Amino acid sequence: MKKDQMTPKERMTAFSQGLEIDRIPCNPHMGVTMAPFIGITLKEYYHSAERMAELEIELFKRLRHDGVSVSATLRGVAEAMGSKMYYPDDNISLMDAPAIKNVDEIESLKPSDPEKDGKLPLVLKAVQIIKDKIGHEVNVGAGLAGPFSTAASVVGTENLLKWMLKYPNKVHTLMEIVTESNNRFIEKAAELGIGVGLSDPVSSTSLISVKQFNEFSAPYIKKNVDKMKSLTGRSLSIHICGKSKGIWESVMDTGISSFSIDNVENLQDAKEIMGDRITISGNIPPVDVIQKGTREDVLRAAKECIRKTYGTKKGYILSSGCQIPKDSPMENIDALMDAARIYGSYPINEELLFSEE
Amino acid sequence: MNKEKLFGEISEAVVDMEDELVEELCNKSLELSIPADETISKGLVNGMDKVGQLYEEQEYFLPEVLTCSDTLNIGLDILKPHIKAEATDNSIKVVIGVVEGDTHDIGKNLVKIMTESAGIEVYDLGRDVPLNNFILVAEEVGADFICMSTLMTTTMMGMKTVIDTLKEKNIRDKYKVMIGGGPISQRFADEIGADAYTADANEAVKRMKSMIAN
Repeated sequence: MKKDQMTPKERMTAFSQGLEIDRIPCNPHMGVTMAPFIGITLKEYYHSAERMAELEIELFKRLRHDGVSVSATLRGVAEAMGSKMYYPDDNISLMDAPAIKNVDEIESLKPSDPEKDGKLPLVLKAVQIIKDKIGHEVNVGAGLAGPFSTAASVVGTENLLKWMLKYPNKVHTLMEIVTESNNRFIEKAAELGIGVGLSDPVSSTSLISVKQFNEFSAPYIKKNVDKMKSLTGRSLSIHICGKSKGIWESVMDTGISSFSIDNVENLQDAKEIMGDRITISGNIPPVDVIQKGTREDVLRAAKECIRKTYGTKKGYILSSGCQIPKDSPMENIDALMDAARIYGSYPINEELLFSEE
Repeated sequence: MNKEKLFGEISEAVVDMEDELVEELCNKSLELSIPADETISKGLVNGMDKVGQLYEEQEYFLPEVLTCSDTLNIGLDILKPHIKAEATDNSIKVVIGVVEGDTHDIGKNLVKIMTESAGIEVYDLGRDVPLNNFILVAEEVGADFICMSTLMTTTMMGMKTVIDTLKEKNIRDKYKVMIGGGPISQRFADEIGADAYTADANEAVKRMKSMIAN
């Protein structure tokens, strides 16, 4: 296995310019589920910027992965807009009650202030600490829920889905307010000089149709993308859990620069449909392989991912298909990083990559 | 009005999510002294079956299914009080819920809707269900199936706890255990000894029916 020749920052800078790099980038989805790695509970993580930062820094020291970020979580912006969360000691946060339950209350909602509301200030502070400590070696970013997923946590997912059919105009009003919340966060991220990635599980075609995505979700993702582009010249990345193939074209049309796809979709299809326009990332099964598999299972799955995306024009980032579950063996995440070094070092050893075992 | 024609209109109104029309037609069926259980099965449930088909064909998605289900419930609320009480003890019974620690219940609700419209009796325990309750209720109502759902990896093992407890109590064979949800797979189902895993709600109902037939 070759040693890394570049720092993650050097690598990603060259990658984004289409220049030569030493190996395929690798960026496992981590965050709160990794809290036990520094011996803290998930609840502790959620309530302390210092702990969030410490976790990311410690993970980086061990893994040297190609991007470090703190997520405002799928429910963070909704919480900042008034939804109530419940924080179990050792589980991810759950929604207790949405900010509103009645469609007529939509107009009373206000965009959140990332410097004051909910836990957003903690996220910004954590990102600042990380940037000061390791920002010279690795790109730092923040995660946000996509506008449609945030809307689901502001009014409750079932309500959002039903209101789309019954009160489409009101849902558009809701989407505008939520999108503005995201944009205010994006402004702060741009000031800090960090990247932003969206996670948007409720936009999956496991839940809504392509037509509904195009009407209620895509235009608002585009507004977030446009905001980031206007401030920094850079775009956003996106992750969509579950099925998404039907909306790949639409997602690309929002101006997104990189798409992390779930393990229910096929990377080969992703390469064919999206590879010429955007960077593809994914999609090692997080539960069956990373949490429950062996090192060999991880290496094999990673090899397959690299093979399926081999030669994709806008590049490929090796990653898990979704967030790595709590209680996954650290050795399997090491294996994921090692796979990028074993099978993804340039020049690519094609004989090894395409060999059966 | 012709009975069959009325059933057809009710069915169509469920598919089209026409709340007021369903209300009007169901009231009309009562005025015409059509037995409520017949209107339910040949009108309302027939409509919901079509909704299930449209979902399978990806003409309808979750928003439509959830809305049609609300329309269906408006009709059921009108008709159910008029059903002549009769024993339904020989019907298939399903206990369903989202396992303890998790509150994501859309998938569970979808399975519930599809199962009910297949004429199966569903006991919905809701979400964040204490693991023991699955067994308590299943025993109490004499269920055929225990169905568990979760979207989170942190709560998956609760499903195993339920199955292990069934074994400890020597009642594992009384129930078919079905599981589903985002992180669940056939591999996981095999690992914990569940009887079935299905990827979606339609598949779940089909599997239930085939297990009943066997």
